[in-house]
Amino acid sequence: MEDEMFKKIQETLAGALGVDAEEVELDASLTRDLGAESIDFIDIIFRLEKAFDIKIPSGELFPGHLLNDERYVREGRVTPEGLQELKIKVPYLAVDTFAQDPQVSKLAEHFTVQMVVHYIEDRLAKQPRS
Amino acid sequence: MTIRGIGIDLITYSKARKFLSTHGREKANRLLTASEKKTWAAKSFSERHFSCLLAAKEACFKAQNRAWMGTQGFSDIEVNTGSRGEFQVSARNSGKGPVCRGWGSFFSNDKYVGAQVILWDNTPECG
Repeated sequence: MEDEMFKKIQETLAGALGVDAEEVELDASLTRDLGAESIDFIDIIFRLEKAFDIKIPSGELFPGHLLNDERYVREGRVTPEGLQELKIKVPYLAVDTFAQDPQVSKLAEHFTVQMVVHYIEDRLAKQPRS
Repeated sequence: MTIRGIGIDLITYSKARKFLSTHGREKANRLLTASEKKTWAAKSFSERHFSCLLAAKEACFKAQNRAWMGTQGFSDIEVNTGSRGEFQVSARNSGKGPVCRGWGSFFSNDKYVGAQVILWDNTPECG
């Protein structure tokens, strides 16, 4: 089941980003390695919703709105409070890695295939079984 | 009045075409403001128009130096296009909050459209 799910995610991301499925490795960054831009993240969300028959609320998979709060950002960098909030609200994100250079503009570089897999696993685990 | 930021973005027509053919007009509408939906409903909704809107919104988003815009972020930015390749933008914070305004211009060739925008901080708390 896990392999099947990963394959489905691989195909979904490959289709959205116009890359070969083999390039969609777990540790690949969606932006740095696979060339994703903002519109691609929207495309990915819509495709995942369709592929897994789920609804992905705004900001749940790829955060961003959290950092519109001025308590969490100072001079373009995420504050310790902001990092803590990211850990709580977006447990799929590798916050500790991002914390090494927490520039807001670099957050999307930390959106990885692994993060998508964890999110989908979690969502499917919480779904009532038929 | 001070400059909040400048932003620039390119969108290939093929990317906009792919998005529209995969998800359709209904999903594309989720990226537009109510006013933009009305405007585009009255015109034919071409991939070229859609590309212009996306490029302008992304450029505006970059001028704000934010993390990632999401569907809410796209629909927080309103683009009003002029007749000479110029446009005006206004950006809200998560559907509420103060408005930043700016203006910009498009440039294009047969493969892509680009947008460059300058955004003004016209309220001290503009965020």
